Amino acid sequence: MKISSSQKGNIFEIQVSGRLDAYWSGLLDTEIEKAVHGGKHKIALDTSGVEYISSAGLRILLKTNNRLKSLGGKFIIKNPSANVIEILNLTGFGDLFRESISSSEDDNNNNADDGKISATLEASPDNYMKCTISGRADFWNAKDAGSISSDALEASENVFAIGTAAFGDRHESCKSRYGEFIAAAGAAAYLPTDNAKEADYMISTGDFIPKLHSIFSIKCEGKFSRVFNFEQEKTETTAMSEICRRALELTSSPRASLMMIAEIDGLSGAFLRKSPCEIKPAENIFAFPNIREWLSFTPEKAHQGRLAIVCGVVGSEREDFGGSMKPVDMKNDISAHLHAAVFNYIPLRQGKLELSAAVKGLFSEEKIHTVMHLINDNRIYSGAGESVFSRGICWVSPVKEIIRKGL
Amino acid sequence: MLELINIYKTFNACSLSEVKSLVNFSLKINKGDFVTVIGTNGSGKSTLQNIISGTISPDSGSILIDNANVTNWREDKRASLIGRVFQNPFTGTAPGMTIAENLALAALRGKIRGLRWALRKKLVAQMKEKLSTLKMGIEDRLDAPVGTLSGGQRQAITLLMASWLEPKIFLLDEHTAALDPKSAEKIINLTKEIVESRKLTTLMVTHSMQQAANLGNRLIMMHRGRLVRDIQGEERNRLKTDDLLNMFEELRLLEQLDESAAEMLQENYI
Repeated sequence: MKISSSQKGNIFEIQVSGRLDAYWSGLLDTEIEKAVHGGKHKIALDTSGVEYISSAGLRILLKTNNRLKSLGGKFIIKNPSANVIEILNLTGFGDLFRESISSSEDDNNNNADDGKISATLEASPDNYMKCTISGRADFWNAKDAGSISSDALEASENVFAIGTAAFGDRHESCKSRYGEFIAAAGAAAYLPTDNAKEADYMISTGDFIPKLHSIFSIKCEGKFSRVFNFEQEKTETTAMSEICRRALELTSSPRASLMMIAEIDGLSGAFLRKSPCEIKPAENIFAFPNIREWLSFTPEKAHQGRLAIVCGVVGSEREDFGGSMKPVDMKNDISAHLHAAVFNYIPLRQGKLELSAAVKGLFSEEKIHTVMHLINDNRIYSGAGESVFSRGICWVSPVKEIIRKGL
Repeated sequence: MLELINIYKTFNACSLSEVKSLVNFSLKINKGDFVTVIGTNGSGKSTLQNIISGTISPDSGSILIDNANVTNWREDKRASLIGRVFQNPFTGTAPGMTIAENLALAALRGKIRGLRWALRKKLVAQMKEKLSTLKMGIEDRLDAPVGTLSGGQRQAITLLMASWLEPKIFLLDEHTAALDPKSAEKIINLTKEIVESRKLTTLMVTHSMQQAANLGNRLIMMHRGRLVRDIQGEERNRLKTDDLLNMFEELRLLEQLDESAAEMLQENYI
C-alpha cells in the first residue's frame, strides 16, 4: 500500500495503491484529515492502483464525501480501477460516486483567489455601523470600586460588541464576575472572574436575546459592508495588523468595525482574573507582583490550530473609541481594540459564509476555550508579538457615528 | 487532628542559595481526612512532611497533633504518632532482616522493645493475615530476608509497617514514584484500602495528577512554600485530571508574568 499526494491546480490529489483495508484506511483518513485542515476542500482520490477496498475503506470514502460537501468542497474518485468500480456498484455506493467520477475532468470552477488576502467576496458598500461607547475602559483610575457604574447590553443579531461584562441584568449580581466579553451576531461569551474561570456563553434563540451587564463596552450596531478571505501562503501566516490595515483600506474610513472567523496560528492576549469591582482605593493593579492577581496573559503565542471569533474596532485615531485603542504593531499608525473567543477547530466552508449561521454554529457545536483581549506583546526579546492566523474570513464596515454614554 | 500554624522554614538563609521552603504556612486537617498534596518542584511538599514528622524543625510556627503541641518533640518521640512511607522502596525496610523481623519492628514501634520481642505465635498469625491481604504470595516467606523482594513488594511491606499501629498521621511521600506502573497501581490500591478501612488521617504527596484527582477527599496545591489551592467537599468530588493540569498551567502563566510583562501590559492592555 502506498499513499502520496500532490496539488494539481485547485484540486488536491491523493494517490492510493494496493489494498485499502482497515489499517490503511486509518492512514488514508489521517492524510485526508490533514489536507482538509490545511484548507484543501477539493480532493481527488486516485484509485487506479487499488486492488481491494474493505468496508473500513468505503466508510472513509463516504465520510470524506459528506464532509467536503458540507464545506462546499468536492470529493472525486479519479481513475477507479475495475475492482473499485465493482465494489462501489455492488455495495450500492456506485451512484454516490458516479457523478463525481464523470465530472472529474471538467471541474475547473475556481473561486479561490491567489495571494494572501483575497479581493472582496461580497460588497454592500453603503452599509455602515453605529457605535456606542459605554463606561470607562480605565477602571483602575476609578476613585473606588463603588464609583464604577454599569450598563445593560443586549446581544442581538446586529450587535458586535466587546469590553468588560458579565451575564446578568443587575450590577449587584454581576459585580464579582465582570470579565472580558465578546458579542457577535446574536451570540455572546465572557470569561468570568469569580471561581468559575471557564468561558460561559449564550446564544439568542427565538425571542430570547442574551443580556449582559457591562462596566465598559464598545458596541457596534448595523451591517457589514465588505467581506474578505485570507489564506496562508506557504509558511507565511497573516498577522492581525495586516487584517486591520486591510479593514481600513477596504472601508476607506479612519475607523472600522471588524468581525472575523479564523484559524489561529498563535494568539497573543491578556485577560482579567479579578473583577474590576474588587479594586481597593488607590490600588495599582499594574504594580508587580500585584498584577498577577489581576491579569494573566499568553507568554508565548497560544491556541495554535484552534478557531477564533475576533471582534472589535480599528482606527487611525487612538482616542476614537473611549481611549481603549492600542497600536496593532510597531508602526504605531493604526490602533485597535479586539477581543477573541477561542473554539475547537472545525474546517470552515470556503468562499461565501453566512455570518450569523457560522457564528451560532460555532457557539452551539464547539467547545469554547476562552475569551481574551488581543494585545501586541512588543517586548524586544521576550515578547510574543501580535496574533497571527493561517486562514479566515473577515467582515468589515466603516463606523460613522460614535456615541458616548455613562461618563 | 493535625494543625500547622504560621510555619516558616528557610534553608541557607542570607546566602545566595537561600530557599524559602515554607512561608507563613497554615493548614488544619481533620480526623480521617485523606489529603493529596500536589505542587511544582521545590514548592515545599517534602519540607512540609519533614516538619510534621520532626525530621527538621521550623524556623517559627507550631505543629499540633491531636491537640498536643509537638513542635519541640524529637523525631523519635513523634514516631508513635506518625507512620511514613518514602519514595525509595529501600528506605522503609531493613534488607538484612527477615520479613517477620521487619514487621515485628513495626508492631513494637514506639514501645519498649526489651528482650521479649522474640516472635510470638499471635504476632506471627497476625503477620500472615496482613501479608495475605497483599495477594503477593509473601505470607509464606516470613523468614526470607526483605532484601530478596522486589521494589513493589518491599513498598507493600513498608505500607503495612507504617500503618501497623494505626498512626495518628499517615505520611506518604511520592511512595509510588520509583515503581513500575503495574506495581505503582497495586501500591495505590493497597494504600486506598488501608487508609479507608482504618480511617487514617493521611497526607499524600504525589506527582501523578491521576492519583491526585482520584484519591482522597481533599486536595491542596503548593507553590513556592505557600498553599495556593485548597479544594474540598463538592468541588473536590468533581475534580478531574484536566482541572489539575489547568491549575498548573495557570501557575505557569502567572510565573511568566514578570516585571517586563507587567510594564508591557500596563502599556498595551487597554
